[in-house]
Amino acid sequence: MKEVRIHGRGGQGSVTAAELLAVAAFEDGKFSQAFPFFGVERRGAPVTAFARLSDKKIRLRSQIYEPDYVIVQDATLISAVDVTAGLKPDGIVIVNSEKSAEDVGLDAGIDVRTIDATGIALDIIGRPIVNTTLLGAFAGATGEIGIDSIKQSILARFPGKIGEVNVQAAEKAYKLMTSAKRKPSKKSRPRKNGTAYESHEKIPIGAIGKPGTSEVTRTGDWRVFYPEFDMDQCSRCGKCLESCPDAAIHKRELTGREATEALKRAEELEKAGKIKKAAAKKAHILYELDPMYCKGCGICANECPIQGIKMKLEEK
Amino acid sequence: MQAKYDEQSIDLLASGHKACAGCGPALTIQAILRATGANVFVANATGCMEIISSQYPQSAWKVPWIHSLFENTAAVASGIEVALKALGRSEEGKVVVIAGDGGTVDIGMQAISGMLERGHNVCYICYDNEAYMNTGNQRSGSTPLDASTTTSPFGKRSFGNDRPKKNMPAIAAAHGISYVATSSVGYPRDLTKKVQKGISVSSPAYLQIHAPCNIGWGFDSAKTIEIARLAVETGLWMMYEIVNGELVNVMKVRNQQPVEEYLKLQKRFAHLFKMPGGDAQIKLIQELANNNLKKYTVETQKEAGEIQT
Repeated sequence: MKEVRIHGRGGQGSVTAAELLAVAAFEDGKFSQAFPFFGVERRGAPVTAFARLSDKKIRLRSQIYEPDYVIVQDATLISAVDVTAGLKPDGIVIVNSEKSAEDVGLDAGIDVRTIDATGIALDIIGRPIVNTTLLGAFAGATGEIGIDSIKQSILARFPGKIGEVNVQAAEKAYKLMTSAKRKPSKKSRPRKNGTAYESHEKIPIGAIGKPGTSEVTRTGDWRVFYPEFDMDQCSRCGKCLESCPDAAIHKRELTGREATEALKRAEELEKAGKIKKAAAKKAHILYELDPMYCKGCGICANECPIQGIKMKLEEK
Repeated sequence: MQAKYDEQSIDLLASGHKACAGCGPALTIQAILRATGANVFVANATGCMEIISSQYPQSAWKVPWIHSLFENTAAVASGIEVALKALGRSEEGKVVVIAGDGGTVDIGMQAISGMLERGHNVCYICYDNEAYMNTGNQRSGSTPLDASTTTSPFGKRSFGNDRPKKNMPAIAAAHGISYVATSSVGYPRDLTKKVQKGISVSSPAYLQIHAPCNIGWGFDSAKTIEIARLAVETGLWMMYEIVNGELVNVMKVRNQQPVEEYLKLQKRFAHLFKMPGGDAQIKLIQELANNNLKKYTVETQKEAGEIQT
């Protein structure tokens, strides 16, 4: 039996990926299983899904603690979650990243394969939905499942045009992966319990966290796009700040020399006819993005009355 | 009138909460707390906003906060209010309920009725995202006509939810309370003003705030505010106050948009544009909007009198 653990973010289709994988294994004549880890996940939050593939009937129903393969749908998860927990010796970790295997931040002893699934998905599917692309990569890197079964599984779930582009993306990833070389790892990784608390007795009864402690969660790593502010043109209306569900836009007023310099620079731009007077007069007031928490929803860009905020693809 | 608020108090719902990107209800809470300031006691019903803000051991709230069940938030708030009174601490702040539409118009209904009838000094605020979104989009009494949800899916014999929205503000007003208002996350200044009015009365107040959910309704996360505004511009969501039992300050819709403009942006209504008979349903929704505009008019736009408490 081979066990696969998928780490993704809510909305990336981790659960769908596990199900597609299980269906593909079934097409290959295997027994299979797919299920998610149930939590309070919202779009963007770290999520986990599992799949088991076997030549025999699978009786095990537990979460997967010692996977043979790990798929990481978003490389930023590596700093937030122990993605290799319990990984078996000879296990393979497939990471969606444009970086090389050595640079994604996993220990040197692990067999890591990277693939720029986001790039492939944006190219072929037109949206940063990477789950099907990574299934192609899984088939290529592990040989556990034939690419044809993966294709069938995708087409059965997504008929028509959507299915076709997803298949193309999976095939591209498959080809890139089969041409890569394998470098086996020997050590198994320390296992970790699936839940945050080892014992329910350690959880205080009737507990509420301390005020504002949610700030330790850096929701900024959920985003795919980030807003870029054109502060030269900004009229300082404050609409962006009041339209941010995550309190990730802050107003700051410069003082002293900084303020004088900002105003002077703006005055010159105004004289050159490059910015409006209203903007120049308030050049010492800044609206700043807190990249730690911005989830990249894009409401601020949609609401900016002068279209001074542009959503740009985040580099990860 | 432009309401003023303290921009420094903006993060009373701290960053790092787990709401989806572009969350309308989370934006609503940011706006509510910006309007109330720090001197509030919040009783929060089960629902999305409770789950995303209080994942143990963290909390996003920077004001006194308690989580209750779906059904008893109004009762918990009533208890806090009388306890503060008994302890002589009523001056310390206003008791505010924040609950979703499921916890308000369905499950929490009888506790709310009791709270309003007993005259507790509590401001009850319902963020209305028109379904049970926490558990993945099941219909509530507040789900609009023809919206497809997991429990009212469209199909060969169904256009989705077969009932119009329950008129909860009217039910609240029927209790004879002095302040009832509706607002929308698409109009932050209006929202601020109404929340401030709601907490200024010393008897029960009821507010319902339209708060689009981009996941459940199926639209791009950037369009949360745009969709909320369109609901008002089409006449599908009315903004008004009921002061001392009298309908006042209805927000005028100067340039009514066809309901298609609102419906076509949302996946939950997408079937109406594809199914046979869908166009007749759209007409029906247009009628609902037109009737709203007719029903919620005051002959002369008069300023509301002093709120009697």
